[in-house]
Amino acid sequence: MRIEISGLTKTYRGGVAALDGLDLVVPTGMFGLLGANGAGKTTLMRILAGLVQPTSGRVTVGGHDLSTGAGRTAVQRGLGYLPQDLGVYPDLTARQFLDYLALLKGMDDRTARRRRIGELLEVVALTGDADRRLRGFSGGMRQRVGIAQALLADPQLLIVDEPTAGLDPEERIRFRTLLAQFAGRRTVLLSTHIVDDVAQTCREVAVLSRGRLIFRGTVEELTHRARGRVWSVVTDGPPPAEGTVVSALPHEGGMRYRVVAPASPAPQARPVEPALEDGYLALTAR
Amino acid sequence: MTLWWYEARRAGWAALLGPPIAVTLGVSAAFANPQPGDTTTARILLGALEMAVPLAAGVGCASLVGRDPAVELQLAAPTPYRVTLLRRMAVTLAWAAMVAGLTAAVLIATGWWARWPANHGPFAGQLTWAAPTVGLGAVGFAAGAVFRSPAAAGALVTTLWTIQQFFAEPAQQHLPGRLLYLFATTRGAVPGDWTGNRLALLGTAATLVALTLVLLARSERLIGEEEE
Repeated sequence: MRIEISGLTKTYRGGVAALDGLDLVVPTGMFGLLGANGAGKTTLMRILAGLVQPTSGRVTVGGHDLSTGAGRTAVQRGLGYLPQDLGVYPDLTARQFLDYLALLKGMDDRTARRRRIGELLEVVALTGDADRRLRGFSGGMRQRVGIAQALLADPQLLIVDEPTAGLDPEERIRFRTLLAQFAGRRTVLLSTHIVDDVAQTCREVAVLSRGRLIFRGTVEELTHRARGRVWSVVTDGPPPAEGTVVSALPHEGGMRYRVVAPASPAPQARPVEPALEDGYLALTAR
Repeated sequence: MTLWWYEARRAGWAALLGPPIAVTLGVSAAFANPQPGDTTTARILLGALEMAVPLAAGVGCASLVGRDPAVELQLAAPTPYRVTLLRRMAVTLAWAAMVAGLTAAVLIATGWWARWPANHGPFAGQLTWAAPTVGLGAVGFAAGAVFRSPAAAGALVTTLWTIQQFFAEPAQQHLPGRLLYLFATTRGAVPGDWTGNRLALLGTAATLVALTLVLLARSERLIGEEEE
């Protein structure tokens, strides 16, 4: 499902512009959306899911115009959505919760619905907890229920907003792998501020800043933005004043700093190969 | 049916427990009456149906909008959320109607129904509870959609109910007051106005529900993000 966005603007009460003339094309496959908190990612996700109406601009998903009721309904029929703040019904068991949402997604055949729910509980490793009430689930378990509900109707478009926030490292890796496996010929839009999640799963990425698109290209191209700007500085003194410190590791009585800076931040600095996070910082630090 | 069962659970305890508790309190009050004249007891019994059940249904309907933890998932589903909310309202009112209808049947069978002179018969007389129940239910539903707070919407329903209790006589002095008075069977009405009053309550309720559905179509209000 190809997503085409042109001139998209969203202004909230109080004049807060969450999106400001956004133009973006999202192709089939896994696509990353990066940006700091408040960059407009969640607003974009909500517009694509049909929850929020844009102030102006045009969005089509798989050829369906989201500005019309018929278009929104058509998109929602093929949509899986995992919101940033996943709310669940704590009095329902995981199986009941999925069953209820499957009914809302139009899965009326009871046998097929139960089979699909069983498969997904297996995929997210919750079969053993399927008949426990959700009020007793940890954050990570709830997030797994969240991804299971998003996959219920075998969606052609999967929108996941900050899906790995709050997950432990093992769960994060399992979650990323699951998304990447699912993508195939579908579109998966992964919105996050965790750069590593995009680095590990996406081929293409867009970066938002203050409601505007500041980059769109491949992960390699974004990484390349930091070429010649990433430095390793070993010192027993204070961190370099110039640039952005990406990491700090103890090193032979001192510290080894990884710094993104347009020029050498210290006399002893030596250039190193950039990673995606460096490219993102080089882009947003301007 | 499975979907309706889930919606009944989502309607919540207030909607489930309110009507039976209201009837129990009303019946207890009727038989605890220190002056147990037949007419007075019958009036309190019918009053439980005309006053207590509608209040319970109104507060139940007021709690339907604004407390859904999975509202974002609901809004992203192809089933319109307002249809889901309408189902929950239907469940709430149907349960109140079942409790009130069964109570009315018992009152008719035991003769208490006929002992209140203004009872309007066993069939049309069911509007005694049906009209104010649907009316206050619609007020609660609409208030919930406007305030997006069950507490504020419930307070509005309770305030409206209380005002009608305390200002029964002034309400009778002009036509709109008479037509929209909730307790026309047990607190008095101009005899020729009763049917008009019941139909006006039902009509007002239908209008309020229709307007509420229009309001609920603005999904971003429900997630607290409104446009400028």
